[in-house]
Amino acid sequence: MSEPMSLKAAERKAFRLSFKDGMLEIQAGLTLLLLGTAGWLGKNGFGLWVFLAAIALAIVFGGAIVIIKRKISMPRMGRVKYGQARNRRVRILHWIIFGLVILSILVVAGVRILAKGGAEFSNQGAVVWAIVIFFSLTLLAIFSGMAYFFDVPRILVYAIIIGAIPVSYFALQEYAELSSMLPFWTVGIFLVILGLILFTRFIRAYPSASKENAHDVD
Amino acid sequence: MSTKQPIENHPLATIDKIVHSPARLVLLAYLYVVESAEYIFLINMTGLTWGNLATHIGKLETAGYVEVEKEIRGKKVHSMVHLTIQGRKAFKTYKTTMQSVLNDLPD
Repeated sequence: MSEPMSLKAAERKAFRLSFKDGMLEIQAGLTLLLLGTAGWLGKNGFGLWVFLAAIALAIVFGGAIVIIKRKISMPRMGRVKYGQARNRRVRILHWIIFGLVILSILVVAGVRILAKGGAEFSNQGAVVWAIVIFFSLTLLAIFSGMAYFFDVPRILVYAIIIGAIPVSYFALQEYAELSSMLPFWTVGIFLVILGLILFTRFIRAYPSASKENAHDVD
Repeated sequence: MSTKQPIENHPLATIDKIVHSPARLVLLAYLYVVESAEYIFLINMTGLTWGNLATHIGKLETAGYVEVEKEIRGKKVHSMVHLTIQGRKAFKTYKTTMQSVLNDLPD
């Protein structure tokens, strides 16, 4: 209690606690590993099976994270209802993400409609690169938004490395002999390992609730 | 004529002693910025022990500054603490008084 504290800092500290268990990293990492593996298997002719397996695995991973959060993280963190200001920030972020997802869908749909309609792009390579860069920037914006609105600066690092995935994926596909799924696996493994480290530290720092040390003062 | 001011008239004399205790002040600060929180959350934030927390929450509850709601979830009882309107007002008053007193001090 000796560190200087403002009310804003107190609120930020309270909200950041919910990101200390590393579940965000594990979830993001597993999603990337799943996408990378499904993409790689899909390229090797496992179409429908890969699709079904990816959905099943996504459900299993999602369910496991919800259970861990509920059974392990929450009893250690303690439940909390945040104030109106924080809820407003989270709502703004949801709307930004929703807007960016809609924009991405419109861009993809627009390009497909133009291509099907017989539109010829003078420089097709540049158009594809523009779309890839757009997706990178969209991911960068989504994760930067999360870092800003959640007040968790480390998400800014994830914004950069996850934002780089579409560009590096396409560059590997075009110019290298390496698997283009490499960026998904690399970032995915990095995030899962980081998440596990954070989770271990969280378990050590926040033991299960116990009244062993209780004593009265004042 | 004496220029001495009775201590009762000094702004600091009106400071709410329930709020003024460091542990309770930190507790109130956290409860001020969230809507409600569980005991374990307050322990994690403040570093108080269960016993300390229970004592301070008890004092704040007696003063009418916080309310404790017990919820039964499964086989466990969860105590959610939230600031009352009176508690919010007391904290605001304390903040304003301390700010005005400290701002008047020379550097």
